[in-house]
Amino acid sequence: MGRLGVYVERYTISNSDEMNALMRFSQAARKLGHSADYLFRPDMYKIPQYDAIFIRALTDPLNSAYVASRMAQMHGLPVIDDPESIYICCDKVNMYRHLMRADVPMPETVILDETDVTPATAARLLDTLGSPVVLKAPNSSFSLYVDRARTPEEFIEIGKRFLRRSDRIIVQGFVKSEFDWRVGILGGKPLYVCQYTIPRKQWKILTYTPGGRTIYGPVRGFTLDQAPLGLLDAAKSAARAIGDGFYGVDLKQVEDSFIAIEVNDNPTIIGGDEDQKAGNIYEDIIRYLLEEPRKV
Amino acid sequence: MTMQNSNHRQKHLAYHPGYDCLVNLAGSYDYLEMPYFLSQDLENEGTTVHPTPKEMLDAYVTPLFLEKAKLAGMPVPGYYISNGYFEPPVIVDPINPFMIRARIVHKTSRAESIAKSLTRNHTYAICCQEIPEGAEVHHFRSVLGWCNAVHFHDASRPIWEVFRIPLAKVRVIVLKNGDILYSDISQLPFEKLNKREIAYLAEHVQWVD
Repeated sequence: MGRLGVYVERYTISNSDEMNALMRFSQAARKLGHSADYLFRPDMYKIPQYDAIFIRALTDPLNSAYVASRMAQMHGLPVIDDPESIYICCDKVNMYRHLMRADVPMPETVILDETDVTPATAARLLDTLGSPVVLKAPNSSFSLYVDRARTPEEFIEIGKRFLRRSDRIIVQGFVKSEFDWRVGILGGKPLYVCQYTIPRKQWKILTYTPGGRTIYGPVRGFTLDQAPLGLLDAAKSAARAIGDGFYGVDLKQVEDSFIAIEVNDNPTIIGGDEDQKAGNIYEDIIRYLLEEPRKV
Repeated sequence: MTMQNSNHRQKHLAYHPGYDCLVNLAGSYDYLEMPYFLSQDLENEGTTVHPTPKEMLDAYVTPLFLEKAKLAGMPVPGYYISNGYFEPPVIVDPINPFMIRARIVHKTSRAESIAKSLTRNHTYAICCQEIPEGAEVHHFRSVLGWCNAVHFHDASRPIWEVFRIPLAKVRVIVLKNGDILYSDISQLPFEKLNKREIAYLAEHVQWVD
């Protein structure tokens, strides 16, 4: 029997959809003969007492979820998400550089620093990458700090705003689509496939109204067998460029090929969404953490 | 994918023949700032450089600094992570992307307002280090594991040997009997080095042109 520590934050358990998924993890652990305990921030000192740690809280190298992950690694425990995956994926500059190094197909991407955010650079990139371009702050998640620019003026305004968060920003060519494929990859193997649909009149999965309302489309689940040819291989190669952990790979379909938009650590698992056609997600993650011997 | 600008690249970069590696001597290694990206670029190219981004995070995220120090056999105070509750006397460090300033809290009457401030109204975590009775909080400067102040000569060595942080301001708790407990590492920007420290660097590294 293994002891799994599930690191959570208050907001994780206050969300009923996430709580639903956490309860399924607990049940799956019990059925497999293991135990799962929730660990909160003040429980961090207990991490060495567990056999593996599963992080279910927003990851960022400067927040407490990273501390939990790195603590687990320092004590030799298997952990999802491992610190390397967190600090690569939470910094899109680093994440795209890993994808580039592995020759993973992705939109044309340029990294800028403060001295590059000029009208001349903006005009040139709008010309070479096409209009609009997508600007991203490296430390963005849930579609926040991702914006489109159609003119040099917009480019400068957005770029300067994002440079308040980081000394570098990312500019990419825009790829239009009605949905993003999301492939969950665990230890190099596909775990689930779904489509995150883009709401009408929007261009990204999640949009926030000025009033604070979140607009998002439905999630459509697929079995692995239903995945279009090439999707799983593209997702596997993108995940492999980052590491051997648990990732949510976002891809856009361009005719018959797939390009990686992002690789996310700590992918969302909401009961009824990502697990629609992959009810074994929970068991697979627990087995991976507690039953598969691996180097830490 | 292309990088537009690599002008920053050589600034603060030196070769350390004793360790056969490049050293990033910016001295301030905050997350997603240019010195952080400098090491990241080199690491992604397969060049050995210190500190790496991971080493920067291990040093600058206080509970990771304490745990890594403890596992390396360096003396550290008792510490815990909290949502806001703590019992003075403690040193309280924020764990969040927006704050770095620590507070030393001696009086229980101050605890609640400081907790509220450093956790941003109990949103983020804090790391609390217990200050033993009669102990004092001091700082020293570490340059490639060397310190100009004789008293902290030995204490400075692990900052480079264990953490691979070449320039650092180190917070320690000095006990009544003179023993020290490691408490935190923070920035020591290259531009703030004094003449003796620059001379020490010049003896040990070769600047990359």
